[in-house]
Amino acid sequence: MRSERCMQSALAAAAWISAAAAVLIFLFMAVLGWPLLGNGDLMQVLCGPWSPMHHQYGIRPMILGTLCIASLALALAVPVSLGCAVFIQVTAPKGLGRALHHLVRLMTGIPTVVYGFVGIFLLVPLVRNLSGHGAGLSILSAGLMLSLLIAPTMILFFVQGLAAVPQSHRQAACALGATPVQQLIYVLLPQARRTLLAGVVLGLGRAMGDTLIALMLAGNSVATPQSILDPTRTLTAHIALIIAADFESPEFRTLFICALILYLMTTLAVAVMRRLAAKPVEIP
Amino acid sequence: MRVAGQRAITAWSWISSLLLTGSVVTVVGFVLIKSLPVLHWRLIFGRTPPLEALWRWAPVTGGLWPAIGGTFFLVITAVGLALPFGLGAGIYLADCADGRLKRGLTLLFDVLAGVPSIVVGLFGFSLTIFLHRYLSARIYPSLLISALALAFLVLPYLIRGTQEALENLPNALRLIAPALGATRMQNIFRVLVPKALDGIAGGVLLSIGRCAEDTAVIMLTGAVASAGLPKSLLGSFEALPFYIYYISSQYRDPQELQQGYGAALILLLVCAVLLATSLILKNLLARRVRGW
Amino acid sequence: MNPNTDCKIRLTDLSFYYGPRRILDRINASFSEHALTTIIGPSGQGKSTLLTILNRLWEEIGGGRIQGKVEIRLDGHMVDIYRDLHPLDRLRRKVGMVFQEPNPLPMSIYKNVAFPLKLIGATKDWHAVEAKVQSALSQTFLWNEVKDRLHHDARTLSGGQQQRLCIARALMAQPEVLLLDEPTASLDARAAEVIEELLTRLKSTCTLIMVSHYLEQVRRVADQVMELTHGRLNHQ
Repeated sequence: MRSERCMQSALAAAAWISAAAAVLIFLFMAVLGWPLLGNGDLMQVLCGPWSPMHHQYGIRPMILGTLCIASLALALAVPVSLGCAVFIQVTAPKGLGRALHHLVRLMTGIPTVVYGFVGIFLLVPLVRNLSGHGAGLSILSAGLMLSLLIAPTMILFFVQGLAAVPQSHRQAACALGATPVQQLIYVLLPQARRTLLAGVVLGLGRAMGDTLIALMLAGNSVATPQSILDPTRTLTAHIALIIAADFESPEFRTLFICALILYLMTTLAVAVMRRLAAKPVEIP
Repeated sequence: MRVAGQRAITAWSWISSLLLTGSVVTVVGFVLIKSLPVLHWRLIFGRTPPLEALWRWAPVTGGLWPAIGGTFFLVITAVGLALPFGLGAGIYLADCADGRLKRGLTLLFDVLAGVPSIVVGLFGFSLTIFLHRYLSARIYPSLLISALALAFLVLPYLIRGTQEALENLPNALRLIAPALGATRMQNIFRVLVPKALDGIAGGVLLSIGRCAEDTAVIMLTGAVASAGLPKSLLGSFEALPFYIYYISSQYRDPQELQQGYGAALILLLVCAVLLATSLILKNLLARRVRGW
Repeated sequence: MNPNTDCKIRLTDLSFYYGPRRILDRINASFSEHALTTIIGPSGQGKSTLLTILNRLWEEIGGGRIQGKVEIRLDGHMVDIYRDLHPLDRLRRKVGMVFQEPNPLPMSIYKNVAFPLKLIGATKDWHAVEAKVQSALSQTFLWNEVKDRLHHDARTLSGGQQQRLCIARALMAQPEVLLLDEPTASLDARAAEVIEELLTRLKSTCTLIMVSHYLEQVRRVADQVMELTHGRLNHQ
């Protein structure tokens, strides 16, 4: 039975090496960012402005930019996603609901860069003309496009949550004369509450982690934005933009702080999501 | 709950659905309409005759051929690197690990799945610098580094796809071979994996799609605007998504921009076909298992 | 039997199909008002399906096809429930149903019972709601057992209590017909006895139709017994 044991250890090794990948990425970022973390400049980096000319390497504008764009995208996407999930699960005529479900599944395959590309040549001019202000590269443009990117993920999650409510609950309400919408309000939504919340957290994680849409549509200015029509730069875009710098420079070191923040935020989102969704759900 | 309230909820669900459908039709339609004028062999092969490019590897200039080829080799290498680990870990999770160990591993894989691709890209980039400095000065951002970083990115998709395909098999099937005296590994490799093969293939196609569309990783690890077809694993390369990104900000004339639309359409089609096939395979498995 | 006053439900040439399979075959039958009719017969013969035909609940599960006529006297008028444009939610309030497995909704005891009132938006006057909840719970011999924990989750009750809660909940809509799908099948003998007593009392306000497997039980409570075999419904 030596081959038996060999096979099993090979499988275990594959699992552990894969798991180590998650840790390895974190450690790499932490070690390379350590010089900044260690000597007490952390607060300055987190809260200061970005102005390499004056040797100021704060990433506060990027943190703000990420939060602005992600929360705008979420605010736009959550109501629409919930509406679509309700349509698929409750209010749609049978065939139409299934059709939308298939469409949403296919939407998850649309490449981010295509959204960005269409955003630049369709949405940005539209925003520019409608607002009559600036170049159109703005929080609004990025937020709109980003909401379209994260909506399918959230819809699939919401649909799963609504579908997971036991059939017997629906049947009980139905036998008492509850209409489909009443079943939704009194039975499905309260029961699926935690899964729905988990879906929102998942959407937030995706929104914060996206690079291309913000990079292509948000204008990448390092000034602190005053309105949603102002350009801004996200943490992800920041990493994408300064790459050809010296390994040892503080400018380059801050990238690892950005990466660490992103890593921790998305890990937090995953942890919260797993906590909320009591039963394991398929993460779309 | 009053009738008006119920009507409002119904109306809201319809409006949301129309809004979403409208948006996605606009996005896809925009790409389609804008790229119609360039839908021609020349979009891919430029002035080089297609057969020359295909049979004799004649260099192609002014076409998307190098970018398509780059993406092709990138995807093959990345998925090739990730596949053994992804399949092994997926099988391990589905059939060997239990309880706390399983929960811990799944948590780590979920974390890995959540890591933004730009962070994976930065990891790949700094790994390159690290290797360049301490291992060999010949190491630069290259196809191999990009593929390695992408392998990290798609690993969770492979693991989850394999695990799900195996776990969805009915319990009755799981018990047949052991009841006949098969060992655990015999059961896994002779019975369970073959039965779950189309589900596993679905997961592989899904990760191919992820590799093909990702831009953030490769822009930090070796993708460039013009390199021709990749010549070696250690050289830089072109790729479709990077080309689209590059054109969006650096196009010099309307013709180049149109080629960008063409590239977007090709990438869109490739990803749609991969995803649709993966979904169909998953459905096939689900249906067969139910009928088993 | 005078069909105009005594007949509550009348089935005329009722057939039902699941795909190509015929479950019910041209059934003609009538059920008397204020009586408890039990339907017996081998399992898998469509007894539960027959019940869900009477409140059109099978339509929510789908896949079936119906032929023939089902008439129920509601508010004094004979209504053809599949042809007359009778609102579905009203029909289901008038024709209540109790399932084999007790199915309290995941909310408190009180909210479960008040749920039917919430559906018709009749929860404004909470004094009246409380009175009605108390009355329904008393009617099902449950009030004394739960009055101190009305706001506990309904799923903390015992099986028998849950089933009586479900009956109380069905009664809140003031049904004229109550369908019972083996209501005691998942309960122990003692709990079943309580429910049987409850059912005999309900006859004064409702027409009861119960599917049952227990011939003992049938003998104890039924006014009318019908057997469903091979798609046909026969008087016994």
